[in-house]
Amino acid sequence: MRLPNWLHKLASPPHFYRIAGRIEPWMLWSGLAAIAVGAFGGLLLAPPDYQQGDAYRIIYFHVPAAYLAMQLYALMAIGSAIGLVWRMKLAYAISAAAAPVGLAFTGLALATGMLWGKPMWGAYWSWGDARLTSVLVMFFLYLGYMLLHASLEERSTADRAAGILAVVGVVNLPIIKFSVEWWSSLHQGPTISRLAAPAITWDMLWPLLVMIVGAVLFSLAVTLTRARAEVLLRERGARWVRDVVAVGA
Amino acid sequence: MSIWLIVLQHEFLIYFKKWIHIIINITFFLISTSLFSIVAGLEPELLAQWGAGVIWVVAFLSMLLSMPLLFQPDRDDGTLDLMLLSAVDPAWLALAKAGANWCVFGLPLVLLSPLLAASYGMQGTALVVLPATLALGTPALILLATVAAALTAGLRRGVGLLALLVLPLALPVLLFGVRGTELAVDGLPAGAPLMMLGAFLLVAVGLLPWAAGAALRATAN
Repeated sequence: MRLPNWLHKLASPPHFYRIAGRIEPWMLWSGLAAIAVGAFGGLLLAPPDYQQGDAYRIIYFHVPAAYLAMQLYALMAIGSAIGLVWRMKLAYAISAAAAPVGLAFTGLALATGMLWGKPMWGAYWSWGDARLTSVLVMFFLYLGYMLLHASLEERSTADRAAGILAVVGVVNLPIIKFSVEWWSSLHQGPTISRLAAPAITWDMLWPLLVMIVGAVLFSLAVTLTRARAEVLLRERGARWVRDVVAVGA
Repeated sequence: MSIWLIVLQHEFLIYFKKWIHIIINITFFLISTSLFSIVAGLEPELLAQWGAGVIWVVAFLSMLLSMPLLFQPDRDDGTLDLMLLSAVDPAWLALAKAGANWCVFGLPLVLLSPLLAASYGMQGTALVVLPATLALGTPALILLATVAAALTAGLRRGVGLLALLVLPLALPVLLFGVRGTELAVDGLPAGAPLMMLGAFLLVAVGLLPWAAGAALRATAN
């Protein structure tokens, strides 16, 4: 199977560096704006929950963080798979750039989840819960990817080895999830996965959606910035990098 | 296929020359499991309940101990590079190495486990179910560890990183191994966890040698 032409063009590092540099500020500022609007709407405008009171408002940080923890892992694994199959170096650079961002959001999801769990379940942590455990495992998988990547000195070896780990992890994650679900689950069901009739009122829902969009834009902007730095570092011998650094563009 | 058998034979020869490692591994397994029961000093019923988890985790750790032997010696003396240059698919190579490793390091643990189970106060079917879960689960764990060993083959003192890579991925196997044994300790039927372990093993045999082969190619110099 061959890659489409536009993807080939985008895969050239100088081209990617330019395009990403142009998109990145837009993503960053619109993402931050959306986060500000969503936080305002979620923390001040949305009505309190009849059961959970104001404590539920941590959902506006917890759900976007958990969503991004998964999405960035998927991005990392897809980038690695593309790199492994088509030997595309840029895909590896994006995977490597996404890993710390994903780790940070996974940590945020765990932390907000624990803070939420204490008043709601009466415990910060429950080992029998499928989601908690599988997110913790995902945290360790991110960590393993980054440590393996950092310990192998040659970058192309590190890319491929860590890429294989990311792909094995993405196959294993659903298995881990369903294995832990064998135990009864404490975690409340998903709030907004049912598109037709969400189990949440619109007043509470819109800030959450705005927060998710903002968090996605923000995380992509950070990933792109990191990927640009990766590309510069990896291509540091190349002529175009010297030109970029000299001009400062 | 005949080359595959030669690789397998080569592995066994190497392991029997390094028989001391086999003894060390078994001793580690026995000492650690006994330490747990001595230190915990639990009531007999609690001991039987905890035994499944302790025996499983220690079995896993003692298998991880043997993992640096899987690729490192062959890599150091160049045998691994020659093997990768040969006509053998690296996936078959990884499967042969994992298979030999299990026969030498995994099988003794399976055979010893009824003894340990008895020392932990387990009775009846648990004495059969624990070895059965180990027999189904440890090969899957070895295959997972083979992938990690191949990924870290080039690293000095890579065993810590290897453990860190394998531990989260091994969770399902450990869960079902321990759960099956616990069910048997409580006198309940343990068929379902055993079947799940069998399913994991089949998936592991089908997919992981392939990943390990790719990892060997990736980290070869």
